[in-house]
Amino acid sequence: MADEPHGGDAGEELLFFGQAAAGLSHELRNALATVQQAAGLLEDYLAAGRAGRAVDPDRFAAVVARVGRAANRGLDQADLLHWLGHTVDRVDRAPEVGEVVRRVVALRQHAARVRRLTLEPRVPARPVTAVAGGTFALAAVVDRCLVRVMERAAEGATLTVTLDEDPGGVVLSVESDGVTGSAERGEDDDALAALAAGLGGGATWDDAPGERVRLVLRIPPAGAGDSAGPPTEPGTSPTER
Amino acid sequence: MRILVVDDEEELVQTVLERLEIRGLTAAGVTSGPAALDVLSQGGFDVALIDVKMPGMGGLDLLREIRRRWPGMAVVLLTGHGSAQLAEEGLGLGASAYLMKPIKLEDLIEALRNAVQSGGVDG
Repeated sequence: MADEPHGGDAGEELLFFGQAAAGLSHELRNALATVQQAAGLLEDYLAAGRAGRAVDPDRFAAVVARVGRAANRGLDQADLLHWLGHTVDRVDRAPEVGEVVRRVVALRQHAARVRRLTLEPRVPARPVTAVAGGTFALAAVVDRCLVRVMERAAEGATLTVTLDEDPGGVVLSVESDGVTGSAERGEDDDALAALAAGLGGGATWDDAPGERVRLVLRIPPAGAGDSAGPPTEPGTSPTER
Repeated sequence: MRILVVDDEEELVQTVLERLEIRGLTAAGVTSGPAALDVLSQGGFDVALIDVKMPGMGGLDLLREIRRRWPGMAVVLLTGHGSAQLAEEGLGLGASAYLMKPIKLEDLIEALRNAVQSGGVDG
């Protein structure tokens, strides 16, 4: 990834990569565990049949279907792992932001489920590509935005992840409808700010106390260069405490 | 040996239960920590096989509650999350073993038997 544009915090990017890989490994192991046990159960049925005991064909079919579902779930995870691995590829084209957002949300689905959070991506059908930075740096900053809101969202909340465009570039909003679980901010916000700044953009908290937690990430168009300043909308920059 | 399987992966629970029963073992299954506590409160279980990462009450929280309410119950942790820190924490809370998914059924049964024979709480 020598020529890949980076965000501003390599440690934070590594954290994203490590957590994403560990989460995928966990989900793959779960899917494989079901495949393994279901295959073993089919062997048990076959052994029973060979021993002259009756085996209900409907039960056999149900277990075969279970294998198929688990295998497909594993394939979905393998597909995500493949994508994650290739986020560091050196390519000339700009990343498709919508795909990055969808993939990052998929990567965090299990962690969200464990915390009883629901993730709802709202991504335009049209391609959104005109941002500076590579896929990996973009994925890392999107992930950190999602994680920060997940950390502050109350259990049971729904997090809406909305991607949009305006003349200033790409706008990603991560909003939780739950009452704020924690108002703590600190080093994690500084790291997020550094990642966003690495893409020429900025991240801004836009909370409504007691009603919602909202984080807005703005990334300027490719070529905007140093002219892209920090966000100007009302709110609190992660670095302005 | 009566076994309670606790895992939010419902199809895995169903499959493991059926395989245990084919081998003459008595087992029940639930998909959440609170449901496990309900079933355990009815009594009759020798060992609980618990997934670590579950929505709401996680496996370690469930283990703590079991230790508080049924100190002698054997517990084996099973997870797809291979964290040394989690394993250390689980064993420190009194789990007899920390197993990684996927695992062969024979190895799983051996770990459950060992947990029961060792009297539940290690150390």
